[in-house]
Amino acid sequence: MNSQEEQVRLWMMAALDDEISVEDRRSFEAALAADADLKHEWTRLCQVKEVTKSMRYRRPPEEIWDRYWLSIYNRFERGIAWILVSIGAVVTTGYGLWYTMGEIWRDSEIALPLRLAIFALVLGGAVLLISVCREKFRLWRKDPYREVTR
Amino acid sequence: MSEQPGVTERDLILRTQRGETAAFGDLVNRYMRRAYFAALGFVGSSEDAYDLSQDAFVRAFNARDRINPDMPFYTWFYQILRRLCYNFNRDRKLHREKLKQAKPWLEDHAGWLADQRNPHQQVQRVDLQKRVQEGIASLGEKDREILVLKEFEDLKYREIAELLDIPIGTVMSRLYSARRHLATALEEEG
Repeated sequence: MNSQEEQVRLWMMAALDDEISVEDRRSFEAALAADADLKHEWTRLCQVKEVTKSMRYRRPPEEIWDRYWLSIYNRFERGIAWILVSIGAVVTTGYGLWYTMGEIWRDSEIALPLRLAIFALVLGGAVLLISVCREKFRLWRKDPYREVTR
Repeated sequence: MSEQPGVTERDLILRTQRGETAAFGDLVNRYMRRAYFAALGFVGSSEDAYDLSQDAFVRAFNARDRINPDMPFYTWFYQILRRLCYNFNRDRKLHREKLKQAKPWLEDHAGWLADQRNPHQQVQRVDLQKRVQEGIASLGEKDREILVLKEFEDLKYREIAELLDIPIGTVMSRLYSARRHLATALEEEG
């Protein structure tokens, strides 16, 4: 599409949406009169405009606006509740593990190699978990596209 | 929560940044309808539009420190909303098909008023409405967004350009592309 054609397309849009200046309208009408294909396209687009102009968004029931803000407020509250639940779960699980490990270590009835194996298992699991979390966090921080719509 | 007359948007933003949820509630009341309909134009489903627009407000509140009180709130908020809607459509497999099959999200306002007493014309208008909806669903995301902002939110080119941070010429070119595509879709389906 050359620049003259591009200009005529822009005039066409501006004319359809009533955002065209008097001077541009004159130039546009002259271009239309000189080109039958353009006139045909103009007619098609006028029909589309006519159809879309007669449509509007379907209105939802008015009641939804009454509870709109309340519903957002509930989401805030639930967000805070989830943070508290998560913190509580991490702390109690950590304490539970620490306490259980202490009990196992002090329990002389469990053979030493088994106690060491249990410790190795728990310690290895903890290191793995921390390592994966750290990697994910670093990736997330360095990801230049994290705010970009993919 | 009722909107307080005379309170400027800037005041509400500053109070929101101090953590006053009531001030943010006033901002929500000012823009909830616009946000809902903008999301509806993107996703074509009333329930999803309701959910996404609310989610956008929650994210806006969480990011309130980044709001510039001297700029229009909605322009900033709209970036969050459109990103959520884009991501939602991306994640929703075969969303175009679903959009085509979605419950009507447009209504033929002018036609319904004119043709109430003529059942045959009413059927034709309902069919046309369905075809327009399907035609819009078949547009690319960017063309669809521009068309919806122009036709159903009735924004001026300058307002669309500001909202999307693109030149007015780009707005017009995309609109041209969208309308041409829609014209072809309507002809094919008709």
